[in-house]
Amino acid sequence: MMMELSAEARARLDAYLDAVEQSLRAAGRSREERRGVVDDLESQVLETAARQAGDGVVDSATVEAMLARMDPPEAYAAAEETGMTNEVRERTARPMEARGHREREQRTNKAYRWRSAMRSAVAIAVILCGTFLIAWPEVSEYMEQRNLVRVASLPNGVPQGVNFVVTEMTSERKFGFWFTGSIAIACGVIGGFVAFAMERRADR
Amino acid sequence: MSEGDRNASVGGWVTQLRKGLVELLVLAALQEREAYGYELLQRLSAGTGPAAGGPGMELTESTLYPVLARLAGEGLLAVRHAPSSSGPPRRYYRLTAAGGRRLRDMATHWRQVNETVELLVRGGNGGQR
Repeated sequence: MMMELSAEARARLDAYLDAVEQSLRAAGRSREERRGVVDDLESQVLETAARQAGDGVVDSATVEAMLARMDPPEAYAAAEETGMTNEVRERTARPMEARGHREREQRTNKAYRWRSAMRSAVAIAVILCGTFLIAWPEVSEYMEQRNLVRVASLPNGVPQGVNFVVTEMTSERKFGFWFTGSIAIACGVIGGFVAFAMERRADR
Repeated sequence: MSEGDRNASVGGWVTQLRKGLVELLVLAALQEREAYGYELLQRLSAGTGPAAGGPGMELTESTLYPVLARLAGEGLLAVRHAPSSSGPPRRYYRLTAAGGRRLRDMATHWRQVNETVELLVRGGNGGQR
C-alpha cells in the first residue's frame, strides 16, 4: 500500500497549487514555467507527506500544517523581483507573510460565508413574499367577509354616515397577484438553489 | 541612524546580493550531477548552511522553483521526468552545454568580484588599524 491523501487533503493541496499557478500567471510567467513550478511543489509536498505518513493516509490537518510552513502563493511570482532568498526574509518576513496569507484566507472565508447566508435569507424572503402575494386575494376576500359579518351583527346596526361598499377583486387583479407571486417564488427557489450550489462548491 | 534602521538597510543589501547569486548557486549545484527540485533545495540548504560551515543561503521553494523553471525555459537546464513512489513524476534537472558555459562565465565574474571586494575590504580594515 502506498501513501495517499484524503479527499480533503488533496483538495487543500490543489487549492494551494492553483493559487500558486494563478499568481505566476498574473506575473506573466509562461505556461511551461508555471507547470514546472507547480510540479516541483506538488512533488515536494507529497514526498514530505510520504515521509511523515509512511504508507498510511495523509489527512487535511497534516497537509495544512505543511502548507503553513511554506511560502504564500504570491511569493512565487515575487521571489525573483524582490529576492526573497535570505535568512532575514526567512526569519522575519516569511512568518508574517504566511500569517498574513492565512488571515486573508480566513477573512475571505468569513466574508464568503456571510454573503452566502445573506443570499439564502434573501431567497427565503422572496419566496415568502411570493406566497403572500398568491394568497392575498383569498385572504383579502375572507377578511372583508368577516368584517361584513361583524358589522352586520353589531347591536345598533351600521353606524350612520358609514358606507360599506364591498368590491370583489377582479379576476385580472387576482391573476396579477398570482402571476407576480409565482415569479417571486420561482426566483427565490432558483436563487436559493444557486446559493446552495455555490456554497457546496466552495466547501469542496 | 538607529540600530534597527542599520539592520534593515543591511538586510536589504543582503537580499539584493543573494538574489543575484541564486542562479549561480543552482548552476553550480547541478554541475556534478542532476537533481530534482526538492532534492536540490535540500542540497543547497545543507551545502551552504551551518552544518557545512557556512552562514546558509536558506533558499525557499518560492525562490528556487521559479528560477529552475526559468533556467529550463532558457535552455540552460534540461528536464527529465522520472517516476516517483511518493507521487507524480519527478522533474530531474541537469546542466546543458549552454548552462555549463553560463556557469563558467558567472564563476569567472564571481571570482573577480570576490577578489576585488576582498582586497578593498581588507585594505579598509588595514587602514583603520
